[in-house]
Amino acid sequence: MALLTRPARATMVEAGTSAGADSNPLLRVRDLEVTFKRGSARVQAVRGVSFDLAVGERLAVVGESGSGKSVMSMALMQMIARGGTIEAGSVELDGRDVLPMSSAELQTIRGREVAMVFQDPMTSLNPVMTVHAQMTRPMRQHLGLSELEARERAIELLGATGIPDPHRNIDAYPHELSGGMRQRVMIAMAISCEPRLLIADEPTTALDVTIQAQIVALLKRISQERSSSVIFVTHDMGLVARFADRVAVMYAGRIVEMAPVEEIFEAPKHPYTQGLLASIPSIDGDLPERLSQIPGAPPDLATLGAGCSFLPRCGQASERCAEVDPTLVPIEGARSVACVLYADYTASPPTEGARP
Amino acid sequence: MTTAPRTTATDFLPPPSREAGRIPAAGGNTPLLEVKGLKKHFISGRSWFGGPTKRVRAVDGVDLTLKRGETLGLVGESGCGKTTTGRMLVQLDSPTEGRILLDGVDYLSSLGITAVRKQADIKAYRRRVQMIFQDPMASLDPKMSIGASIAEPLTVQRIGSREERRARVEELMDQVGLDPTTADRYPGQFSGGQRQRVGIARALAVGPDLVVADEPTSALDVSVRAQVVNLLRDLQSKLGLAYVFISHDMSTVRFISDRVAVMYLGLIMEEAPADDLFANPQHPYTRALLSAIPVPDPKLEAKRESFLLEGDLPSPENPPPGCRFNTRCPLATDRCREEVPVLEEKAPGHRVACHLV
Repeated sequence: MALLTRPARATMVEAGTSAGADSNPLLRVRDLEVTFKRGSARVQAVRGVSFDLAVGERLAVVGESGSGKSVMSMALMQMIARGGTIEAGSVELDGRDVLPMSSAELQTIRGREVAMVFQDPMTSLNPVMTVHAQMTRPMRQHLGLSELEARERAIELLGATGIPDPHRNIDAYPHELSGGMRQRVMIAMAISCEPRLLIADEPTTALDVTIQAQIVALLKRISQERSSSVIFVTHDMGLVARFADRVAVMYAGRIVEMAPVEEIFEAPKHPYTQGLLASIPSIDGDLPERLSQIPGAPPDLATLGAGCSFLPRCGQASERCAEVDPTLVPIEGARSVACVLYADYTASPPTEGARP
Repeated sequence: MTTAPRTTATDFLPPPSREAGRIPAAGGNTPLLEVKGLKKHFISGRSWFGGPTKRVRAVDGVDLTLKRGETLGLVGESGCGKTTTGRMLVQLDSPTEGRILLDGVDYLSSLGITAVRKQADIKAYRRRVQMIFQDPMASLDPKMSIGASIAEPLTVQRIGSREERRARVEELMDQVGLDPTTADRYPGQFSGGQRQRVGIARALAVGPDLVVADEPTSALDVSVRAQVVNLLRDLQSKLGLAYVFISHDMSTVRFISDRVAVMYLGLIMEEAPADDLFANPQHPYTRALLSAIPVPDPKLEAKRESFLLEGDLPSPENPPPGCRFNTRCPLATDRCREEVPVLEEKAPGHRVACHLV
């Protein structure tokens, strides 16, 4: 397929490895904080998130609802729902901080440099425009294609995302397509201008598994062939294993563990990650009599007390956990964890740098 | 979990089967549930003369059996008819065709001719078959205390006095791991996992033999799912419940099910003991479905054979002739495009509907 075989941009050579510590990251996020107003309370949705993303790297952000994973990934492009505020932090794309940018400046980045895919396709599709009109405009603008070239490429992309009969469906309006087809149109739009970074927030959650498998395979192939970076927000540990190079596990607004994908599945460090992985029944191995379970429920982010936010559910808690609210600190290799089991939080103020 | 003997609160529940007076005592061989040729066609739009213009064959001939205390997993993609099958099993949808036998008795054919009689029949049926829904927030009345919600089936069925119902609610809440002193609170004051416990308690209130659970863990946070799955399993061994567990979460299905049936476009494609189905899938659709599901193990993922399906599900309004899977099946032959394969036993307990197996 032509769209997949066009040569990658020259700037994206040394990509793929998450350990490219000495090369410049595509994205550098530091101390990002987002709060929401809820009545008179302040909900700390994102509580100081820092990480780097290498060129061509696929980072999975996992967590359950309320963990801050969606808010965090949307805030990277200043996208915050009503009532929310980015309180602090910086998000550098190629060394330029995007958080202070005006919406006009952002417009030049969105679509071309950074594209987004949301869980609900109707949030980003225009209901009164055909797929053709919505898909060709950005390609003509950003890639300088003619109307006809853009249409051909759009058809090709629609076909690649598994849309049947793309020659006909390109002239459909969004409401004429099924939910799964709309989702695939959005993904085709997002990758149409070959963005350097794709932020995908649960892009396949609403789709059936056979369609999900097609889409994830496509996203992975594009990322590999074009060295584009992906931030993939999900709650499905299976998808993480299939798709990601590196994993950030979020809990209560914070990254509690970050590691290369093999390492996190092989030897999870944070008690939450351990509990999460242990609670998933195997699809091919022996099965236990009972599933291992994490007791309790995630905390309310408006009423977080002192100490570790996972403490009430943690089986390995000690007295220290009530005193220290651990931040993410590097441990061995390319890994970092936010837990008193792995770092001494009294000795010196820990560095927030999540980057291995 | 308490190991105390069942309290007197349940004793007021008369055995529904004997009370109904027409159900033979469960013999050793009679399955609890037997479903034969079950169909549900939805009619959308009618012509001038009242004839149907569109007929959606949501379920198009399903046979199932279920023993007491057994769990049958029902899997497939959206639109395969698994939820409609589940809704027919609890009489939320009435079948277009087919028979549902409970302990060998056909409730559908015995449904009375008058509307009043029919309501009474369905009520008696629901004493024995109950449902757990996917989204407990949507299935619970937000303006009703959870105690009242749990007691509602008892009120509808006119079981017990007010005090007895109160005691039963406390017992149920205790059984599902909720604090009975919170019975006066409202659904909004509970977390997702707790609300699903309320939904489970409500389904168990009348002491059913069979519970149909439609995606009971899909709306829950990942860290809470295992709690609910364990609870369902504990309740099953304690109360001898049979489950029909409808889900697209294959790893949970494998964990909880004794047998699994795979549906595609309104038909069962394959049915086998859970371990057998997952280790040795026979139908090309089952193989595609299993390989599409990502496994939480990066090393395994890297070396798994991928068997990606092309395209979308055909519309159940107009299913393809022959085998319904033939339009997406990489192995399809001419025979598959013409002749409908029958669901046949290919190995002991392992039924497959495929010409090539």
